[in-house]
Amino acid sequence: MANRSDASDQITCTIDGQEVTVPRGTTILDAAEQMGIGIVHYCYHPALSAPAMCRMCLVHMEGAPKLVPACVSPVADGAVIQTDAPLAEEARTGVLEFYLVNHPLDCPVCDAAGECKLQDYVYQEGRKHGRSVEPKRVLGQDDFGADVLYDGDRCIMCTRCVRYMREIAEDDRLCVVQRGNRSVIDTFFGEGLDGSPFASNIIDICPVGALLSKDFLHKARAWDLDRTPSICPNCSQGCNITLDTRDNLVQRLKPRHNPEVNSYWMCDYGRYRYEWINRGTAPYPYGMPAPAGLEADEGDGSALPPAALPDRATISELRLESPMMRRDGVPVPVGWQEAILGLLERLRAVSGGIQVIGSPHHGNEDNGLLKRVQEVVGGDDAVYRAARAAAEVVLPGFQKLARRRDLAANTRGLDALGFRRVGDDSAAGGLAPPASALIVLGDPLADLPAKAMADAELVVYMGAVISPTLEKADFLLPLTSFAEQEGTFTNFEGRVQRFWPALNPPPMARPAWQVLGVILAGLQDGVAPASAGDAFLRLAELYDPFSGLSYPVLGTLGSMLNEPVRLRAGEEG
Amino acid sequence: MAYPYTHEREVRVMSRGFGDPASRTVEGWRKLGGYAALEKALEMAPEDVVEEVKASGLRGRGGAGFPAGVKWSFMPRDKQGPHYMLVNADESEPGAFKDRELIRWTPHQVIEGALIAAHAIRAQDVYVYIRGEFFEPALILGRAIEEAYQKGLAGSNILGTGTDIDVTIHLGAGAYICGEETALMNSLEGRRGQPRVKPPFPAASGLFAAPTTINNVETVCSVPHIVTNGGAWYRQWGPEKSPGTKLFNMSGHVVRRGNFELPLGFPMDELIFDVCGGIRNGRKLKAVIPGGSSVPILTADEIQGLACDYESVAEAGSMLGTASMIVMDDQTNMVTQVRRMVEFYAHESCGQCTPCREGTGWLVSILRRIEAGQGTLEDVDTLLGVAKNVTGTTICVLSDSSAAPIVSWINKFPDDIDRLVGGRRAGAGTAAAGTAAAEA
Amino acid sequence: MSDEGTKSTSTADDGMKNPGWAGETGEFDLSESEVRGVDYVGEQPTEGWDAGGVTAYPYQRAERDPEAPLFEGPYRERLEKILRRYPNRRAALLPVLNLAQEIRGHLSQEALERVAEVVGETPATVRGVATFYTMYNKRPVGRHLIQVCTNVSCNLCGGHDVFKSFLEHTGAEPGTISEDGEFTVIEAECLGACGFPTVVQINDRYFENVEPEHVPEILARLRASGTAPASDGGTDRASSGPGLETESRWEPEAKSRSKPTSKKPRGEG
Repeated sequence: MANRSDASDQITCTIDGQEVTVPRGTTILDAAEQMGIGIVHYCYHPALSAPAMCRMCLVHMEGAPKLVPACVSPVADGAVIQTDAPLAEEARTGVLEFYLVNHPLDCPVCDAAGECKLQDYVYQEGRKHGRSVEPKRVLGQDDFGADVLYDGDRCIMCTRCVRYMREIAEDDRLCVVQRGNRSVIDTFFGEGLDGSPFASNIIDICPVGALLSKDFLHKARAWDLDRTPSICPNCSQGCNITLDTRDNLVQRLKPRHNPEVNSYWMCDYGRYRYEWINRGTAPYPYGMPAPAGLEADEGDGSALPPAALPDRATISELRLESPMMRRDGVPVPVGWQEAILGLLERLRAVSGGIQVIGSPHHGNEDNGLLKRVQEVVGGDDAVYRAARAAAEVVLPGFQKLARRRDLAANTRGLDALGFRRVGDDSAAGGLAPPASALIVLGDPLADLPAKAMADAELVVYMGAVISPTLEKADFLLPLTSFAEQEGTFTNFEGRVQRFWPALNPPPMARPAWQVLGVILAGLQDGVAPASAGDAFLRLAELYDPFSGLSYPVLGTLGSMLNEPVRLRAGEEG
Repeated sequence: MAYPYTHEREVRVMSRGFGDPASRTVEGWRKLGGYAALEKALEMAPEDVVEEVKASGLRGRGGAGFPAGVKWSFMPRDKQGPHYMLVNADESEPGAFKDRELIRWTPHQVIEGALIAAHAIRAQDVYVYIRGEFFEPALILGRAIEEAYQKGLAGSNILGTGTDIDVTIHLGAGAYICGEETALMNSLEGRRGQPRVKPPFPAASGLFAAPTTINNVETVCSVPHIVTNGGAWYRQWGPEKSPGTKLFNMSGHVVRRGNFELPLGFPMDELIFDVCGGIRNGRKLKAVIPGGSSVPILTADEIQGLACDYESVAEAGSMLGTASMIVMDDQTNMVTQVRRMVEFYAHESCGQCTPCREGTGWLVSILRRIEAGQGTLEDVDTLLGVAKNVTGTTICVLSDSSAAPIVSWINKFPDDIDRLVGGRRAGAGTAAAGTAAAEA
Repeated sequence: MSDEGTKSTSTADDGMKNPGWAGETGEFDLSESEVRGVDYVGEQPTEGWDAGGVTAYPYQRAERDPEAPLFEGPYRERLEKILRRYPNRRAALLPVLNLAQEIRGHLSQEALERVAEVVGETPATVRGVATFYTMYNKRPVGRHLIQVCTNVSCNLCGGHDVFKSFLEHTGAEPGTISEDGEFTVIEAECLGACGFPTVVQINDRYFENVEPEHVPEILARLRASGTAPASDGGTDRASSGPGLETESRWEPEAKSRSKPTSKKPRGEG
């Protein structure tokens, strides 16, 4: 960006004694950011219009009659700006005192405590003691519908939420009601935010505890959460997220900034479907009729069901805890070594090639090595199934982001690896009873009767949870879920993005790439990969769409299939 | 005839029709010399009109006193899209009531001035933003616009010159802040009347994001006279930097309240004691707010010999503003009046900027306690501290305005504070800085 | 309060010159109608006056029906005139709210929804705008909304006492409707007529130089006025205010003037 402009488009100014050269039109706030100088702010958000109303980013600019708001003031050539001028510091301290005049200071019971900008800034620059002795204004809470709870007393009236709904969601359902210090945020009376498919982003951008997630209410203190960068597994958009976990359970999903994929946002459909991650199951009842609402979804997302939990009667919650081998018709728990040696023996004896069923809820590494096993052993029937919603749900103000039709994270990855999609939109059907050998990854085949496997020469089920259909498989191999391992998903447009382990798996569960890598080594096909990164390098060697890619290349923002970014010297590693 | 009272020392330029129902009509306004200026101006090039107004030194009468001709000259000369001329008739500043008189007695003066201004800035549309409470004046102006259209003085092909300018009234709905020019534009666009961040300034991007000029009613009403008689003529009154005549809106404890048109630079004490007949009931003068409630209070001593022009009043530590003088006698309970003024600002704060939204309400709370006799010396310090923090930290100057009466009252009337909180702040002024009442 | 003693007791304030509280006419010998410009404005201001924008004015009628259909009949015509006057529909929001309030007397949730449809904005946006402005009544008010200025210029001259007097004589609490449904009394911010204290806005009209002792007479005049039903929606000036007419200032409305006498504006020249 900086190199694109010629010299006349660049200006040089001084911020806090350091010179910086930036493109003309850059705001003081952005210029300072580039230098690592953070200018505090509430109302400003990089994805929204800037009303300059929180008055926190006031800085001193030489020659200006008043302090200037850094968020909207462009730097001028030769300008001398001081963010830490005594006047600016005094102003910030003064403004912070105003924020607390009517704030309830109920941090002990506030979900935002620990991730609250009001706490942070007052801690940094606030007065030790506020001077107000007046009774506080009491407004109370208002349920905005959807997952949003509004606490008017904590609200600092930055209007980020109002502007988000207007400018990004383009669903103008929030407004500032009244004026002056009677102002509150509200919807149109009882209308609320129900049916607005991207509404919960306002919880994320609220700098304080005024907008709360009802789902997360009083679930965990912010400082007790571990935040692991990940990819939303609920559709093929591949929103960058963090898995916020505590006690080895996902407590909430939060969007993570990626300008190419999801900006600062994610949809409510994805955000609230995390319980299945904690169970290790698929996000929907695989192979079962679609959950109510999926077919009815007309594209606006309004018909989307709340987090679709698997039906307990059809999908067991029980994790596979140990490798099992069938002996005399009975599955018997065995150690990994015994299981793999046994499996290798059987694979070597396979006569007519193997069929493999991949999983779009598993990463590229897992599915890629599965495909490779098929290539080594023989066979050409590689398929997968995934649920598909009736329509996309696009975020109007950031149209790169949509809840995609494919309700699985890695359909494009499987396509790239040569898997063929079968089945209907509820991820059911499309499978014939296996003729010879079958290796299933993830898919519990719940729509097939257990006896469908009876004629198969060899049935191997690799998955996180027990499948009733497959409980008589020859081998049952316990896997980690995507949240328990490292890996990559390929999103709908072919962007390969990394995810990291957030949860501890059951002790015996292993990543599929590891299991399959050992099997491949046993089949004399290379060395077993020591890490997910190694496994990914195997993909790059084996499959053209992945050639040239590696974890360092993917970085934090991901990289497109077949569009490798050449590393610069010294950046590797 | 400065309704409802006249005085021989008045110079009646804009106020000639006041109190005469006949001057409301086109015919009546023509008898007073009206519409000659429009005829003349439409024959002139727009830039020549701008130059004439620049030469007159006319300063904006809405309070800030920015030279009107200079403001007009900011408008782009090559018109690429619509330009808008806005007349600010959202007169809401406590103490100000001049625009209402101009509109209800001489509506054609407003129309004529607005049309000339529109011609000068190449605007095809005039919007007159009148506060919603001014319903009756708006009826009169609306009728006058209708009449002007019927007589070819507005609309298309004005006076056969081929110039098309539409005039539309837009009524506000009760918000003082809409008198701030960018808040007014937001309001006219159907939004909450919140001031916009500047830049961009209206001349670059104003109403409907088009180049826009906005002038106060009184400014606009001065224009026809300048066009008719020339800028040099206008400069016969007032000092070099504040030329011309001005409506002084006199309210409070003077005998003769009302509007008086006087040359700028007129001595304030003579204005109060001669033109307005002094203080009612034979009382003594305690304080004067010279430019509407947003400006610092002056004491009886401070106004002695003080010339009512922008520079002199500023030198005295206040502002001429809209020349809306609120006169208070020696029996005035100042804390009540200051509290009432600050309540006004708290009520009218748009609520965008935190210092104003929270600060004005806080100031009211403290003042109410002090008024109730429950204040302490610390409260007085807090008042001053909060007043300081709401000054210069917001998008517009509403919160600065709320601080002005408080700070000037505390600093200039220490005896009031003594009486209320039972003690004197360290370093506070002495009784000598106080009022006639204090000395009595 | 020490300000009490400063009510305008001077010789200048001659009650005879101020019969209808239309303004201190001071040295001028003017009737109420002359001060208000009634002759010039005429009686049918909502018709025809496209250019001046009178169709968009916030008439505050004593007679109104909170259930009345919005924007039908003559109101539909006025609405269309309003919409024509702005480059986009959003800009017509304030005048359209005015019109809705004129019909209903206040802006209910349903009225806001209808206005939102008309201007093509969401109901929430319209609510945000409507609540910003004090002249939009968010709940029903009495037939006569009495707004007493208590800001500094009026307050110096007894504004607060006038306010108290209105409360006392209507028996209403501030902001509530009096038992007889006639009055709602509220404190107002500066009404911009500071030279004529105390200024009281009653529906869409100003009463000036009001003293506490004037209040019973004013209330009697209000009670007697505006009883004519609004028969033809929107063009009936007679019922829109507490007796605008030049005659019978003190008398109850002699007759209903609900029928427009002319489609053209009157009082020309």
